[in-house]
Amino acid sequence: MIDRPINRLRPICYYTGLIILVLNALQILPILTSVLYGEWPIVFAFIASLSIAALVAAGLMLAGAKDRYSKLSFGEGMVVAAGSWFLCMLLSALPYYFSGNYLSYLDTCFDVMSGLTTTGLTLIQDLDHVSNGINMWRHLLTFVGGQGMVVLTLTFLTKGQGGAYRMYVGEAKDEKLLPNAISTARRIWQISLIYLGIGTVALTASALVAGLPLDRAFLHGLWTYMSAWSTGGFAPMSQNILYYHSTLFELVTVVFFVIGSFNFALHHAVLSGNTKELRKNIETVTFSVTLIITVLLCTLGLMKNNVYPDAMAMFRKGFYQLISGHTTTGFMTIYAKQFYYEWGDIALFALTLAMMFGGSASSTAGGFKGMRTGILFTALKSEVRRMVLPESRVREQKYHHIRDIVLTDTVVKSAALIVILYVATFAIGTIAGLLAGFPLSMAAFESASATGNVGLSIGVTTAAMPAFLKIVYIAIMWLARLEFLSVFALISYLVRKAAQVCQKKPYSL
Amino acid sequence: MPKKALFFIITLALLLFPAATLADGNAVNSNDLIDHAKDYDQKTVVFEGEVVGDILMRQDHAWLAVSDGSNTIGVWVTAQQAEQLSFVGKYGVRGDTVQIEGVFHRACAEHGGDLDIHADSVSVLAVGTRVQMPVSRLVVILSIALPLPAVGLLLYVWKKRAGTRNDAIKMDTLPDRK
Amino acid sequence: MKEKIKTARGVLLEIGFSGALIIAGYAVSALLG
Repeated sequence: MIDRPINRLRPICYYTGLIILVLNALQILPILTSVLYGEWPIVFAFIASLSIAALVAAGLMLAGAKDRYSKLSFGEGMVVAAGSWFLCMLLSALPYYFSGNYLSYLDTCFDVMSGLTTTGLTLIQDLDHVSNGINMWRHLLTFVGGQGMVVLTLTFLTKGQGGAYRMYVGEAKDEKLLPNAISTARRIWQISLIYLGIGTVALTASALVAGLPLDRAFLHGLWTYMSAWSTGGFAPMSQNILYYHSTLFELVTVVFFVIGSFNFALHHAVLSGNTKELRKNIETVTFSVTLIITVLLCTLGLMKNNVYPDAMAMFRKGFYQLISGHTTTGFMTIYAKQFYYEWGDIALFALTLAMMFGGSASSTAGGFKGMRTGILFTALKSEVRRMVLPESRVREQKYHHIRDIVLTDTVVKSAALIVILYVATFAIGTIAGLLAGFPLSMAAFESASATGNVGLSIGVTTAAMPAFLKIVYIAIMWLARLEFLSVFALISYLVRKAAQVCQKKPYSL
Repeated sequence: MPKKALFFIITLALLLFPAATLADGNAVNSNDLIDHAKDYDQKTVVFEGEVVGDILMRQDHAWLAVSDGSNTIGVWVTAQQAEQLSFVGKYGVRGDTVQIEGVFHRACAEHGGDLDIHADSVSVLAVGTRVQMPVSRLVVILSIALPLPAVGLLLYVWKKRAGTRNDAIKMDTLPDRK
Repeated sequence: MKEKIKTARGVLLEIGFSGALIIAGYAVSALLG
């Protein structure tokens, strides 16, 4: 029997600290990379950053160690998820800040949030001269952010500890691949690592064919894989994927970023032998449909403006950018401004729409998610049928996701609310862009890119953009990645705590 | 009549502006090339910048990535032209500065729609060199002073965790918090 | 061993699905572009 009341702040602190520790411990990899290449200033930058992160993490864990076995509520799980993402942004930005590759601390925070949310918009300066250590960190953050730092940390927890599922849900995944959250987290990592092996080999080979020397081919292969799988969009060179001038390299990136945009539950099913799931799943079906529609619209728009000279160019520029946007990857084979000066409104509209639709739920992708688009469309179909058919003929509507699921009003409501939140976020981002002086097509495009955690840029995102716009985009990327609820939970928690402190309530947490 | 003539002259001057940039050998900058790609398409341009990244050999040709500080443009050169280069820019290295004269393509049909320059001539203006990268004194101090305390604190946390492991048994009797 | 075969088959299928989307995209570019 427990005598003392449990301080709820403690488990929150403990797990937040643990997550910060686990994520930033990965700085060891960039350190090793920089040592290998003799990039000594960068080695110092990382050692300093890692030490600071470790001190903060240890402090938080110390504050909360006593009550770490106390099970978190769903709300608290969300506070941990949103809180760790925010604090990790501040701490993981230190290597960038100390490296001298950024013009301000705000810019470094922007890039960390962009990496962790697998957006891919960047404010880095002189990327073509950036150290291998910093590039390793950029791509590693994207890879881990895609899976989720909570998911990463859960893989190291012992079972039954702390309400793992509650934190897992806080990070916008709710698929139970396996009976408990810790096994699920481990299975997610297992799947990611299997593809890490295959993808790195494939991209390294493609980079070699493209003409890179072996060591750089490997680094570029590894980094591009991490960026593709996590549908991130960062690339080691400023020209992004255009740098390689290689159809083969581009095709391989498409294969892996499309697969990377799939739901982890789908991966788990298909890789466990349930191959039929690939064609029955609501998300693969929805994605295929929305992809074809947006590709058609985009191609028509590009044709109308005579943007590309032949089929191959149309495919490597039009289709590539479109599928990169739809999967919310953000790889580019054209320059940002070319969207604005060359593509024309129809093609830009198709691309903006594709970015908002996004990839699959419980994946590394962003946007509405195919699950919601599919659910809402199915609900619409069902409503129309109900209106048209006589009462007796109406049966319950189902959709297929691993199992056949009944389409209840609750499911539809939940999907609709989140879609509305995405649209509202997109609107706010667009307004911010307009206030900053950009024309509508640019403001809307970049806002869709941030909201969908895409990373395609039409030229708005530069170090020169106003600070308030950077802050708005950071907030949007964060909210969108965590699908709003955890951030709302965090803010509400902080507001309540602040109110309690102001009213000098007795110390009940 | 004078107004019409003036209008005509100004229009002509504006149309010829890109040509003016090209004709007298002044280098065009990359922002200009990208923003006015339609105007520069298929025209001969002069472009200067640093060779960065890698020289991607493709049989008897190669790709150079040339950066003028604002953007990096892909330049298609012959293997021979590529041979004159000694340094490519990366961390700690400033690459050769080159002057490229060649045909600019907004969406090159030969190269799958890539924005590129097919070089007629490549001249090395300045050979590259290794560069000492700056280190901030603050960073060095932090990286020497902080690791030990950090490790120390982590070890302390580790020990404390071990000490409170017994609480787990007591916790199991608690009802689930909603 | 059976698990590995299932995994390998699954991976190939996912790659194949991805490839199918790419081919569809190329078809649209070729037919319209």
